[in-house]
Amino acid sequence: MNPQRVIPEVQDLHEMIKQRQNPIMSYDLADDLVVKIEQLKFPDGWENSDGAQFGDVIFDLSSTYPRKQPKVYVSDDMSYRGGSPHVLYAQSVAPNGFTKYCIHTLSDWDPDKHSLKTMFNILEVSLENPKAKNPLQEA
Amino acid sequence: MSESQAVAVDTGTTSRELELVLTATQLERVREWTLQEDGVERFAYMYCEPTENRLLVREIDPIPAEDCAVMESSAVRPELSIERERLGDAMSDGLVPIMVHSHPFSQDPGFSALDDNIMESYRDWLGQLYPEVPLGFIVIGHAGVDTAIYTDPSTPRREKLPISVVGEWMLETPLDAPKVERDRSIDGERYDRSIRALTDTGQKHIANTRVGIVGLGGLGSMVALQLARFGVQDFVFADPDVVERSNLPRIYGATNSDVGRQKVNVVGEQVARANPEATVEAYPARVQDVPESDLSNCDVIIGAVDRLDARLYCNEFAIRHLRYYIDGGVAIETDDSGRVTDERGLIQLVAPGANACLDCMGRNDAEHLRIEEMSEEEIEADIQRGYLEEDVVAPEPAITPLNGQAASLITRQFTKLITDYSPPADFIRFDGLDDGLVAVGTHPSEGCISCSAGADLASGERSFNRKDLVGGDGEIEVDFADPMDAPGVDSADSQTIDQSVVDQSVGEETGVSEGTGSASQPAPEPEPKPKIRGKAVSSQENESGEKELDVPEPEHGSSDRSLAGALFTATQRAVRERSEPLTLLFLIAVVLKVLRGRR
Repeated sequence: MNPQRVIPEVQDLHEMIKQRQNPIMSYDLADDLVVKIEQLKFPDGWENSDGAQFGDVIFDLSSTYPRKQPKVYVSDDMSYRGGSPHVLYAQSVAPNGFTKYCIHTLSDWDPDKHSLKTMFNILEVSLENPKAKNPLQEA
Repeated sequence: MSESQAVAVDTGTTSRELELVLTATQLERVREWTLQEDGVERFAYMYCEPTENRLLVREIDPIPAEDCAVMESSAVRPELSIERERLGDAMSDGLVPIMVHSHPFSQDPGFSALDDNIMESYRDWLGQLYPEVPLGFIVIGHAGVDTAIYTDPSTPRREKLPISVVGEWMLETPLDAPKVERDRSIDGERYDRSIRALTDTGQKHIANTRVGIVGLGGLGSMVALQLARFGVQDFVFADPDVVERSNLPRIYGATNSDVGRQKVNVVGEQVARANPEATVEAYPARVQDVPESDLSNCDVIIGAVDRLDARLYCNEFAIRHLRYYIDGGVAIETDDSGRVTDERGLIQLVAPGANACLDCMGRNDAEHLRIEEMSEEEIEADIQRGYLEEDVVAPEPAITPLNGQAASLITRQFTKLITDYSPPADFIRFDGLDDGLVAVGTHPSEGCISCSAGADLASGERSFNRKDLVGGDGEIEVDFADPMDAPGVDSADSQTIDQSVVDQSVGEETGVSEGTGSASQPAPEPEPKPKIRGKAVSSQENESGEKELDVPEPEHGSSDRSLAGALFTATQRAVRERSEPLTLLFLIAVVLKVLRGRR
């Protein structure tokens, strides 16, 4: 992973999210290769164990980013309409406090066209309708 | 600028401290600019990234007539303002400038007395301002160049700067230039038959070439042993795996007693036995965890891996360090009845900037990378959900003769590359079913994400301060369940294997010998597998600090998880365009060689 490519992406994503809400965004491109968004407001229907609509998200880039999409994890106490939707799974492989989010895989993922903002947009669409089989198509 | 009072001390020797490295494409561009038909001398800067003892040309900066104080048939010099601006910018960016001018009237030029005075005046001027930055000069003619380097510009001592051209066989006119002196001797009797084909010089080139081999399985082990017997003395190995029983048919020289041992050590010992002059730096680790300096010192990197991320890493690494990369792989496909439907080998030579890299050829596969990076648990979870087929992790079929064929092709490519006895092909595909072999030439793809100008995967600044890499609004701490999921900070350690190690191990053997009935003996305990983590990014170890982004402090309630909703703004920042179309300018010259009959 070339930080020269990724650092501006992270900053662009931060700017984009900042336009809509005020989460806490951090990144580690040295060791863990992750971008973490805390206190992100989830769409209606979602709530954490405190009953609030806020949760944390991790984009796990790995050393091969942007050749492939990052993995996505969300706080493990998030629920949707009182239950755990199928998009949340494989908690045992996620970082502590998180569960893996089944994010749509773009068949045409292209490092020249797609970025972390793409990933966030995909996540937003999926969070709006987590029970959809193909959230992008249905959106 | 004052004339220097010092007299240059031209040693006439070729520098052993520095080497200029540029691609064939870059050299052709310099020639095209400086040697025009009007016969006028022209000037250009080369800006070089210094790495270890190599100056890697990153940019060619031709200076047009309107920016020159003098541009005639016998003299050329940029305006002083241009010199100050260009040289100052280069030095500020940490680049080493090389000043190039032409003698269009000459085939093999030499520096004139005027050139000597000018070089000394540059040294007098820039040496005081930037005493630690080497100063280099080139005068270029139609067939050759003369070069000069002040490795330490605070002294008038000057040497010839050796030049290495990546993809030199592609030049329209070969370049006559000083070369790095390689003085490793060879055993003429041992290599008598090779010398009769490759000449004494060619055999010395082989002996003086440092080779990195990534992947020491069925394919890599055969390549290693062939190269060792062929005369290569200097190896770097990288492979994190241990020998398993199912590897024994294919890993050259491996026996039952090697099960559980690191592949790099098993093959390293074989290499030392095959060539008593050979030394192997064996890294029982992924190639990504090998210290960058050790791998970048390899003249040729050979990839014999079955992981795409390792291949692509080697590809990017070779591009960044202007090193040759030979990527080799084989595949066998079967139908549901088990019948072989395809048997093939692919060997690609990457000469950065001169021919196509792996990304130019479209060999990236996002889905393949995604699966490679999944843990066994993740894969199992995805299989249970139907996201993946059950056979996604099934071992691939493999047979020794196919590996052998590919290994020999790789070694032949290496030989052609190093000894110049014949130009190497850029891409070879052989079909194991009909024994067909196709060799093609390739060209870099415009817009390639790795090797094109402005590409941001392999190029660009690589060294960052830690505070640039870690930051944001808050402290970040991600507790991965499996420490191996988190790329760590430590590079791998190696073991040096040479004849002395082999002699020692022979002395310590307690009777288990090759080919005896040792199958009944229990396999030795596997060597403890070190938890190897590597730096995903090269960074300087500075105090970590948060990077302040322009973000207002969020309001906190009684709980971090129960904030009031934030107001959404209607303004949307312009999205950074990422819609540059990829255009492939692929010119493929196909040379079809059909081999009939058995090899």
